[in-house]
Amino acid sequence: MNQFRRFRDAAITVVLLVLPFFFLSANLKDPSDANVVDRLFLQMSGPVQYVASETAFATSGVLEEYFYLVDVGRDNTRLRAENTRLQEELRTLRSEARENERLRDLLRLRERLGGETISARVIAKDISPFFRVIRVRVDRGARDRVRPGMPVVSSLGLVGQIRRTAGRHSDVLLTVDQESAIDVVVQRTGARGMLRGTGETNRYLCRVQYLGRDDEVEIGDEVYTSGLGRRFPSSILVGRVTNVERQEFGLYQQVEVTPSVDFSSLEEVLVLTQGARQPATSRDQDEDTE
Amino acid sequence: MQPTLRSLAIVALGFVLLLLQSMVGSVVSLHPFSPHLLLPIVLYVGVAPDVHLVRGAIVSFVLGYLLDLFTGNLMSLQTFICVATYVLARGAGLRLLLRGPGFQIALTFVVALLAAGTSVALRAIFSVAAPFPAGSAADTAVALTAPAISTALLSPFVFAAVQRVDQDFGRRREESAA
Repeated sequence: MNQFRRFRDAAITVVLLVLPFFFLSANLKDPSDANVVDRLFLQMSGPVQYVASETAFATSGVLEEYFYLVDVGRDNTRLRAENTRLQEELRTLRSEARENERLRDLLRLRERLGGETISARVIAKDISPFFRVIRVRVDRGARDRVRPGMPVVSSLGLVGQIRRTAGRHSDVLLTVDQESAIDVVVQRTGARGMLRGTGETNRYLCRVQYLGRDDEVEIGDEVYTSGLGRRFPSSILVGRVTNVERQEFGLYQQVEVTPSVDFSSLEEVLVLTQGARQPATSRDQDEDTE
Repeated sequence: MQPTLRSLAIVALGFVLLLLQSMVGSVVSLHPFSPHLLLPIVLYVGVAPDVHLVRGAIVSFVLGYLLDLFTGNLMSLQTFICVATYVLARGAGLRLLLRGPGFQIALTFVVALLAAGTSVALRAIFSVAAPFPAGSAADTAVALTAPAISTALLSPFVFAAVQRVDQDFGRRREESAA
C-alpha cells in the first residue's frame, strides 16, 4: 500500500512538473504546427487561463480602486484644510476691505471738514442690558491735544463730543446721551431746535426741543448741526426724523430723531480739534454715505 | 483540513508579496533588479519537513501560475520553473543549507540563477525567434544575475515571513489536535 502511495505521489508530482512544460510548448507553437496533443492542451488551458486572469484582474482592480480611494480620501482631507485656510483668508480680506472703506470715508470727511482733526479708534464700549452702546472710549487723550467738548464725527455723521480726557484716551458723550444738547436744523425747512438725547437703553433716540408748532417737519427729514453755539461746525448730519407729534395745546411739537450713526458698529472716528470750515452740504453727506 | 489551510496561507502570502512587488514597481522602477519573491517560498516548501510531496508540488504550481499571471510571462514558464525548483530542493535535501541568513542568501542566489538560466533555456527551446532576453552577452548576464542578487538579498525576509505563517498554522494544528 505504501509503495502504491509513493508511486502515486511521485506520479502526481511528475504530472505537475510536466504539465506546464506541455502547456508552454502548446502555447508557443505556431498554430499551423500544433498537433492533436497541443490542441488538446490549448483547449484545456483556455478556460482555466480565462478564469484565472479574470480573477487576477478583478482582484487587482479592487485593490487599485482601494488605493485610489485612499488617495481620494487623503486629497479630500488636504483640500478641506486648504478650503478652511482660504475661507479664513477671505474673511480677513473682506474685513480689511471694509476697514479700508471706512478709513477712506473718514479721509473724505476730514477733507470736507477742513479744520484740524485727529483720527481715533474706538477702544471700548459700555453696553446697556439691551445691547445698546451707551458710552464710547477712543484711543486719543490729553497728550494728543484732545480736550473736553471737542466734536466727534464718523463718516456717517455726528457721534457726539469729548466728555473727559485722560493721558491716552478719552470718553465720548454720545448724541443719544441724556446730557447731550446740540443746536440743530431741519435741513429741508430750516426749522431749528435743540437736540437732546433720551438716554434710553433699549434704542438709539434723540428728541428735538423748542421746535415750534408751526415749523414744518416730516418723518424722514434730515437733521444737521446748525453751527450755532460754536461747539459744533454746521452741516454735520445728526440723524433723521422718525416720529412727529403735535399736541392740541402748547407752543412746541414733539419730534423724535434717530441718529445716523450706528454706535454699535462704530470703529473709527475723527475728533475735531480746531474750528472746522463749513462747506458740507446735504448732497456731500449723501455722497459720502453712499 | 489544517494542511490545506496551511497551504492556502502560504499561497496567500505569495499573493501578497506579488501585490507588494507590483505596487512598489508602479512607484519605483526595479529593473533590472526585479526580485523573484516566490522563489524563496518555493524553496521553503521544498525543504520544510512536514510538507507532503504532492501538497508542496501543488503549492509550487499555484505560486508559479500566479507569477505567470502577474508578470504577463509566457504561460506556464514560471509554473514549470517553480515546480522544478521545488522538486530540486526536495530531492537535494537542502535543509541544512537554509540555516542562517548567510546560507539563505547564498543558496537563494544559486537557485535564482539556475531558475533564470532555465527560463532562458526554455525560451531558447520554444521561442526560436527571440530566445534571449537581450541582445548582447553582457545584457543577458545582467538580466540573469541582477534579479538573482535582489532575490537573494530579500530571501531572509521572505523566509522569515513564510516561516512565521507556517508556524502560526502549525501551532493551530497542534492546538486543535490537543
